[in-house]
Formats: sequence, C-alpha cells, structure tokens
Amino acid sequence: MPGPHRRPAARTALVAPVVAAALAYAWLLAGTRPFTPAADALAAVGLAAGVAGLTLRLVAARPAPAGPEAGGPRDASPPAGRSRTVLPWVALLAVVVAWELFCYVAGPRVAHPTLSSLSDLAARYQWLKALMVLAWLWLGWELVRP
Amino acid sequence: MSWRDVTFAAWALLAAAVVVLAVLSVAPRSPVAGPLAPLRAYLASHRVARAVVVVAWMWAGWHLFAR
Repeated sequence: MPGPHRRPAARTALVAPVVAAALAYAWLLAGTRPFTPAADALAAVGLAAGVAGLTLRLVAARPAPAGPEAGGPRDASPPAGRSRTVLPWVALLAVVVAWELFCYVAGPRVAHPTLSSLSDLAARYQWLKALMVLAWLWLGWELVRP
Repeated sequence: MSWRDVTFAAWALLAAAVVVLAVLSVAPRSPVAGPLAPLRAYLASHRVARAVVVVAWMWAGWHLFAR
C-alpha cells in the first residue's frame, strides 16, 4: 500500500533542510544583540513562522473522529497495557520553581543567580544563545505540530 | 565553597535531571511521558487555547532575543 507511506516519506525528505534552516537561523539570531534592528528583524522571522504554523494548524484541525482507529496526539496515546506519567516532570518543575523563588528572594543576584540571570550569562556566548534559540524553536514546533 | 558555587551546582543538577527525564521519556516502553504530553492533549481539542499558548511562545521569543 504505497499511499499511506508517501506522506511520511515526503516529511522525512523535509527534515534535513528544515533542521539546516533552523540551525542557520539560530546561529544568525544568536549573533545579534537585543534592541538592534537586526535582532528585531530576525526575531520577527521566528514570530512569522509561529503565526504561519498556528494558522496551518488551525485550518487543518478537524474534530477528532470517534473510534479506536481514530488515533490522537502522539504524546497522549500510551503504549498498550501501560500508562505513561508526567509526575516526574511535575515534581521537577516544583523543585525548579522553589529553587528559583529561593534565589530570587535570597539575593544578592551575584551569589544566587536566577534563571533570567543565567540566561543573560548564557547569551554572552553565541553558541549557548543559539541553543536557546533552538530550544525556543523546538517548543514552538511542539505547540503547532499535528 | 561560596553560595554562588552552591547555586550554580544546584542549577546544574536540575539541568541534568531535565536531560535524564527527557531521555527516559523517549525510551521505548518508558513509563515517563514527554513533558508536553498533557498540554498537547489539551490543545488538540482547544483551538483558542492553542492560539493563546502560541502567542505566549511568540512573546517569550521576542522578549528573550529581541527586546
């Protein structure tokens, strides 16, 4: 049955150029400084991609058909016979929030760096900032992908 | 060892925990789900919520990298 396999094959062929474009974009955006026209323009490209992705997603979205063959979000379907849990993530998030709050109120910032001060530190290095851009792009993709 | 060292070490430990959970969540037959699984399941049937979350994502990128 070649039909159902065509679309995944086409998607696979798109992966390399899309990843290459994302890497190039991340490196270019990471090379800019905030509050400059270059940073505004390049960040706007990412925002435009977000708008395009959201529009495509909303246009393509249809009510989920009922029935066992309907499928659903990939992350939401547990393996047969097992249920997957997000509890470890929730616990980790709670610890991160607690530690962030402690650092925020403990001060001074130089002794207790918060996440935002860590991101300011990381942004001094282009490769670290590029990783932050890639993480942002990945999150955006996760929010709009089928 | 200063407080700054302790704070950095704690952040590094938390970052390592994120990596470990991320690896576990993509492992076959792992009981750990991806971190976005509940959010994605919710957004699958809530169009307005998806739009709101994507706008928040856009604001975060603008704030982090442009202004």
